[in-house]
Amino acid sequence: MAQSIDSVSEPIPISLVSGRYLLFDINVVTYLRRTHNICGVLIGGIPQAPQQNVFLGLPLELIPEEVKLLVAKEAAYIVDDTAWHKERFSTLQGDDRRKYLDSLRSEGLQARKATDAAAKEKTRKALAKQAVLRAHNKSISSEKSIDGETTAAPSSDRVDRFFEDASESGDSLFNNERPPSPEPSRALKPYFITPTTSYSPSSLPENPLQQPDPPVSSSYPLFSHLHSRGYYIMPGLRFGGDYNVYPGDPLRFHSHFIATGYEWDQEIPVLDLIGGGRLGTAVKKGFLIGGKDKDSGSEGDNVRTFCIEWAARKMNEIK
Amino acid sequence: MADINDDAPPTSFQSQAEDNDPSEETQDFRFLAALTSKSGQLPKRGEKDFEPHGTKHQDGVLEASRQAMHDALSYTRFHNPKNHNRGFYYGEGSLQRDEILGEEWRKGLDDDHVVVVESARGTHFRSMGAMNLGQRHGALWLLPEEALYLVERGNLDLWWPTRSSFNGMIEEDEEGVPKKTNQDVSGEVDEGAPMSLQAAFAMLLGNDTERGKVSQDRYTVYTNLKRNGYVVLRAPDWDPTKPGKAHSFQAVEPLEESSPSIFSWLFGRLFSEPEVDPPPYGPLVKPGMYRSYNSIYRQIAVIPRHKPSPTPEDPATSSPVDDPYRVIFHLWKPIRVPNFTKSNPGVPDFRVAIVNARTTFVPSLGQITSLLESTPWDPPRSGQGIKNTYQKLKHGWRNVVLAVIDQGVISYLRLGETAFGEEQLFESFDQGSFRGNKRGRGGGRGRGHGRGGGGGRGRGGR
Repeated sequence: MAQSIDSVSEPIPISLVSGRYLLFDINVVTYLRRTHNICGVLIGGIPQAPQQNVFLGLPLELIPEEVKLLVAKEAAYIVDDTAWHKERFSTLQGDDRRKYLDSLRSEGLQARKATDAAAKEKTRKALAKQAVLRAHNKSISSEKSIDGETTAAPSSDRVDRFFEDASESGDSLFNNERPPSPEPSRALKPYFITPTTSYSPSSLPENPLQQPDPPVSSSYPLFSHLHSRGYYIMPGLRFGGDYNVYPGDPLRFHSHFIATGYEWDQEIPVLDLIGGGRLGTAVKKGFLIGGKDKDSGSEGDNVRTFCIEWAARKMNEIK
Repeated sequence: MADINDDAPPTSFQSQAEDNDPSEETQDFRFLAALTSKSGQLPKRGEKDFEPHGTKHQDGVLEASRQAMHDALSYTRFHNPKNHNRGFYYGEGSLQRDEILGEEWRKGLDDDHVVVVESARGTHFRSMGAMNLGQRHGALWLLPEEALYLVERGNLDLWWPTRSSFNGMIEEDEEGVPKKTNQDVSGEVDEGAPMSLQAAFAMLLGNDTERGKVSQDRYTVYTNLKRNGYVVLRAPDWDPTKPGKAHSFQAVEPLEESSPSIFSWLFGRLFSEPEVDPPPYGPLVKPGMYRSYNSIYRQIAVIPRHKPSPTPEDPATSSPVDDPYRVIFHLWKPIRVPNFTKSNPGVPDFRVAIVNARTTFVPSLGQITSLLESTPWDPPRSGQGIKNTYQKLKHGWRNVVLAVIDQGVISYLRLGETAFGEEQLFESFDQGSFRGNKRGRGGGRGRGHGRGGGGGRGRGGR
């Protein structure tokens, strides 16, 4: 989508699909990252590089803590996406429908133009290269160079075919079943588009008054405490805690803490402290624990945090 | 907080090499270009900063990273007419497949086949989907995970259908219904409307018990494996509402069934000592003169050992496979893709069960036993020597892969039915070829984050 993140306005709809919280709009994702320090986890594939698991793409999954925090700030609301799409399918009629199809068509036309321009550029370069090659070596009389001679000034028809031949992949099994195209094939036909998100600024789902409460873990007070201090927080599974805590955007910074939340009066097994402390120190992070004092009536969120560092295995190793 | 300049603990070098899995951390999208270019190199790690220090340079790099991420993810999936695969969704919330497709035309389809592909082009469909039979032109139908994966990949243009959308359907509609009736005001044929990626997720993800849906856990494992190039098909035990198959005792082709040679058959019997029944009390090893380790060890082998068998003797003790410890996917290695056919896929290379790290506990022995016994007999290659012994122990007699998933992060563990009792090390003592191996403790390498690492199962003594 060509819109920038300026088009994002709060509150933001968050899709709830089979118990997971998903975001599909890259502008929203970028906006939350910049404005609210919310990162989420990318879980989808990238069409540009589909056979790898290193770079992932949309949708973005938010953990329940992130959703609860955004909802509490009234920066977002939750939408039952399956129900919304069901309703939209049955009510997508008349003007709405035509508008939707028209917008897709114009986007498809843009994509087509962009691809054609790129293809022309590619062809032009390839032909220029060939011409140079020919000038250097006249003895080559392969089919290609003859082809190149006749297309010194390539017509758009030839260019198109050149590109399409090059990008042809796979065989068509059921060509005969395709409906005959109603337009003459030479007219510039828009590409078909699969839009990423279903929402558009004009068709945002309604903000329901009754919000389902995201089922957060008991560590939520610690999460919101750290978040309010400007930290970026990611799920902590990779280092065995509840959260990984970053001093800035995880795109750029290593995490500082492995954080685990406890109840105020909860007995903490010493083994947990030793395990967390040793692990944290081994990966050069602090092991951070924290919890909320529910009885304290003082100002603020009443969350206290402690950082534990593994000192040594033997007394004489302590520096 | 450990100082960066601290001396690294002695293990850190090794563990760094082992743990350097780039899919583990937030990636800098500025390096995506390097990946998509021809060199195909994965980005290196450790190119991040410790903390913000408020310099313009740092802000600039962060801004570039964010912009690169935004650019990479704002890609719009468009379909070149040359390889345009259009599909129609006939699941929940849309037109119902079974109203449109008569019963005799549904042959060959599963209840979960809810997406029909108009024109299946490309190599993907060699290992995906199923044709419905009974119709003059069978059409290709996709399962929810297959359709969603292809939409995500940009290879499928999924549409909300109208009654006349798919000409394969109306072709044999009741007589008298003219084809293509739904012309709208502008005179265009109404073929439905494209679904967005979001709509596809909303309609195809759900609960595994729901018809035409796939759970996010299973879908995540599916796409992770597909992106790595595997052929992934549903296993027979997929449906959680149906009781799993208790056992499948059919043996896969024995790789090298070691039939004893005549010589060893004759003389092996002659020289082997009879099994000894240990006395109820007194020393296990009877006093006397011993000329070989063998005869001593035989006498002290009193603990019953697990002996793997193609047909477990006591099927009554093992329950039918239990959710979630049941085989969900069959896998074929990427190298098999060029010759893969859906009709005759052959024996899968791996069998995968999926468990959620948050909602499931470590399996009981009964769960593992029934899970393993639902997989075919797959004995290790026979061979002599200590090296082969470890290979045999690692391979096991049956095996299954466990995908443990938590918030989109997957760890794969291989469970094998290992029989330490089958590898009698003392037999080689007498030949003098055995050299004490200090590493010989335990079976699997117990790496915490087992990417294909081993966790052995040893029933009985060893």
